[in-house]
Amino acid sequence: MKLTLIALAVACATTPAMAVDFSLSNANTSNIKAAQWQCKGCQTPERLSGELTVSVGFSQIDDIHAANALGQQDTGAVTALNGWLNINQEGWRIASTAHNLGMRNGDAGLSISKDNLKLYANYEQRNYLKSDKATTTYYFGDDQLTSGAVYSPVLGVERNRVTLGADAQTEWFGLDLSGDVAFHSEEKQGHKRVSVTTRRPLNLAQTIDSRTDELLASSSLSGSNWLTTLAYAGSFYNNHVQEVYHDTFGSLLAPDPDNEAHQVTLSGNIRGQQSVFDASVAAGRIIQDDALVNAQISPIQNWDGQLNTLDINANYLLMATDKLRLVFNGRYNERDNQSSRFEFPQLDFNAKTGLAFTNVLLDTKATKGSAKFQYRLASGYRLDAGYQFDRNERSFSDRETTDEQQLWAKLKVSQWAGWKVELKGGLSQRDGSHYQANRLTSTETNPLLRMFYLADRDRVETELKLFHQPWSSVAVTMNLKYAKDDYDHTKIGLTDDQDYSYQLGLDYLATKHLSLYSFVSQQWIDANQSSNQWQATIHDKFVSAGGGFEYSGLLQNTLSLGGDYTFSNSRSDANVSAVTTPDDDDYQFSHSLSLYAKYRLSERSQLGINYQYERYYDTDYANVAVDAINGLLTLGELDHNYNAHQLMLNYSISL
Amino acid sequence: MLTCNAKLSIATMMAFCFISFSGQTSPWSDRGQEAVMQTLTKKFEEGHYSPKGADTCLMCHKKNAKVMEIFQGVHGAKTGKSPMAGLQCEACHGPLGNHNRGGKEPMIDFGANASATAEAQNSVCLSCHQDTQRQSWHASVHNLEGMSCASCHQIHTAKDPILQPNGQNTVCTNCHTQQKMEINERSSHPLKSNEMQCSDCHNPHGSQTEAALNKKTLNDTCYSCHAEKRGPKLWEHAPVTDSCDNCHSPHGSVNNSLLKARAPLLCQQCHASNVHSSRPYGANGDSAFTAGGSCLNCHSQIHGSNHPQGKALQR
Repeated sequence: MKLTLIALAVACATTPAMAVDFSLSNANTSNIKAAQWQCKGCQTPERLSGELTVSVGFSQIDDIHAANALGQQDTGAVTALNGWLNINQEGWRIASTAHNLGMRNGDAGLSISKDNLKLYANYEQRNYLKSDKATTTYYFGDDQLTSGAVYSPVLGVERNRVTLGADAQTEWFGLDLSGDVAFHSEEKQGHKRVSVTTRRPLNLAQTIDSRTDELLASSSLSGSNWLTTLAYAGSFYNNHVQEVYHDTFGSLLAPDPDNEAHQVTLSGNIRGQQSVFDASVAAGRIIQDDALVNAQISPIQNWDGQLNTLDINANYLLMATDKLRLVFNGRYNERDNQSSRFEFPQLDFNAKTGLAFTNVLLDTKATKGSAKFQYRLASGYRLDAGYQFDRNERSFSDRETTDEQQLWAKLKVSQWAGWKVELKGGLSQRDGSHYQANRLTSTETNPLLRMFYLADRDRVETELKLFHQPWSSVAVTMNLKYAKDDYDHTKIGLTDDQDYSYQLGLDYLATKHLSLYSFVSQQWIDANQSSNQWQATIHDKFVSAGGGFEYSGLLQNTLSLGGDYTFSNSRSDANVSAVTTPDDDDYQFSHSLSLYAKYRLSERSQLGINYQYERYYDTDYANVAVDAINGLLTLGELDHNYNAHQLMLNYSISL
Repeated sequence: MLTCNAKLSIATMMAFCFISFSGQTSPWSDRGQEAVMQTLTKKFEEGHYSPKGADTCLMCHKKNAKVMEIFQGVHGAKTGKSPMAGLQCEACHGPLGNHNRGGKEPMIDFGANASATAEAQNSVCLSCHQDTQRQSWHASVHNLEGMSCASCHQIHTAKDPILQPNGQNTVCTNCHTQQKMEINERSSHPLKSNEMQCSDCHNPHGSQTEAALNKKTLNDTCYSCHAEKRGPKLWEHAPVTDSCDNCHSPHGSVNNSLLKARAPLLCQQCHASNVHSSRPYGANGDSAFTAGGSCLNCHSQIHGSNHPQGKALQR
């Protein structure tokens, strides 16, 4: 049946042309007198072109978290190089870029190309810094967790990524043949918070030190109305961090194991003028056979972990008439866990439960199908509608099969001058096989519990989008969205949630030289959940607002001024009925201001000044002093409350 | 910050959503799209190209700096498979026909405000740019929404803004305003600082997966940068292997670590029925169940454990 449908789609995809097609292969070139096409007026690109900007500045920073916005973590001078440089000579094109080089989040690229060959290399440095206020007395030395003097490891991760690649095209028996290969290598270093249990929980700052190499290669062959590609993707993760081991408590934490993933994909499309069919089949394998820690009380020294994956996807587009388009989509994803199974003795602080368990191999299968139609009712009126069916099968799950069906429709109106309106509504329902809450985990769960990702769920969602342009220089956009999930058969667990939001934007081109914009958006997410003893509500709120301008007409068009400002405020309030004192504060706000001026010194040089200000505050009731809680050692109070400033002078030269 | 270029932001907003930004209109723009398309189709079939190629066009258009900028980019190169090495200007804009007799006969024009349909415009671009990255373009949301390639890309330029590190996210979030909002939330991927691009996860030209992801599944997409979560691990946590977005909101969250809710309540949406997991944490103020990592103080290997004694995801 599947093959019949695919054959039908392929046959329809190659039916004669109907839609407009101005592709080069269809051009009627019989009348061209090419000998007279000399292109005398065509310009040859400058042999050397580009723009380089050297920046020197100073930052006032008292919290390294500011580096995520400013690219620098300490108070002091900062330099940066930005720009691009192109060299064109005898058909060769060398292009190089630099972005924030010298700062903590910089990157650079170089490519060399000629005709159908391109070689390229990129380097990226990315930092995400959380805090330097963590305090701990625990060190990781010689794979042993030891206690010593208090120190403050920096929580965060630095990524350094190098890419090398090449791609080329040629002709092969009248067909286009192309190939590309790319190699990425990324080093990650830093510290992250982990926790171990030594009868009492102990938060630690564990080292991050890993490398991921990725090799991608593909080759494509294409004709006038078809394309096929064979691709390989390999990824190799190597973790240099060892287990957390303590002399008294033994092996406390296993590291993330080395692993490798391989995937081979065959994909392609067939294009008619009336219909297009594209599909892919990907077979993959993920392998993990790292040595097990604490192997002396394990039946094996190395576990053979292996996942086989199969992903099949297909799209079919049919332009049935000038007014009607149909799109069909099918997907199948399989995760087949072929790892080995053994019975492992467990350390359990609750001696009432068993002490040996066999690892469970989770298999999943996802089958999805959808149909969408798009019908032009009249000029400026369009109706879209669709149906989607998802089936997920999970082995060793409380619910082995879930089925979800979704119906939606959208009306789009662009008939009225200066207006565009979209109204969308949808319903979906999820149910599935019998929910066996205590089949596998009878010691833990209650028959009334429904895990939210497996539970029956009814969803209603609606969305309104408005675009209005009252004058040619003004644009107003507004989006409204509402969604409600009702887990109507859940007594314990997440019972319902609502998500409603809006975004409003105004863009105004006041004069030829002055442009302005502003925006405001808000979101509210309310959720209710229950246990067998209490009910809880969660109210999440978010607001963001901002604006900006650019004025480029000062001093006889030599001076440009600009600025941007964004405010954001996130808040989450939770109330549990059995708790008389609500949780402490859990919110964050920030003000980000950027001002700049650019003064043109000459035709090719420019002087600029940038000022950036960050006001950031967050608090989280989970952040408490190291020993504030009896029985728990934390990394201390990690909240942020800072002002950061950065002033940069820039000199740019165009080549 | 993301909104660092007011001019680019406004230009893309106007270009995506509305009819005219600059006030410049083509001499044929008042004829209606149907009439223009009939003329373009007829001209294309007749194939009356200019006598001198680009030199014919430049007789009138060489004073337009935007036109001449084509020669600074790859589309203006006179070698290889560049349009300027073939049918020159008419490779993309179609045969000249009678356009040079007063300029009122339409040529194929490009952009969200063009007279030519998006489908017609895109047929020109796709005749060269038909490759693996674009093999699912026809069924993509952007195609079905009638977006043309030139809605996002600029051709007559040395550097296309959307291909620059600081340009892409601004262009995408002009329409995707929900995502623009979410990337400003308490935790998000570093999109507002442009250290990540939307295209790191999504293929704007369409793919065969949900939300046009670059990889075959959502989890595979996440493993691109978070390979340590890939496993497989000896003891797996079912919702983790099922889908990362069971617990995380990929574009942003008011909670830390992109979590949909914070622990312990997030955990209690699946584990809230026995004495240990369902106790009302915080009843007596802060405790080891709410402070620090909350449930993760003990069950720290929430993404799976490779420890032989790690069944409870504690080791």
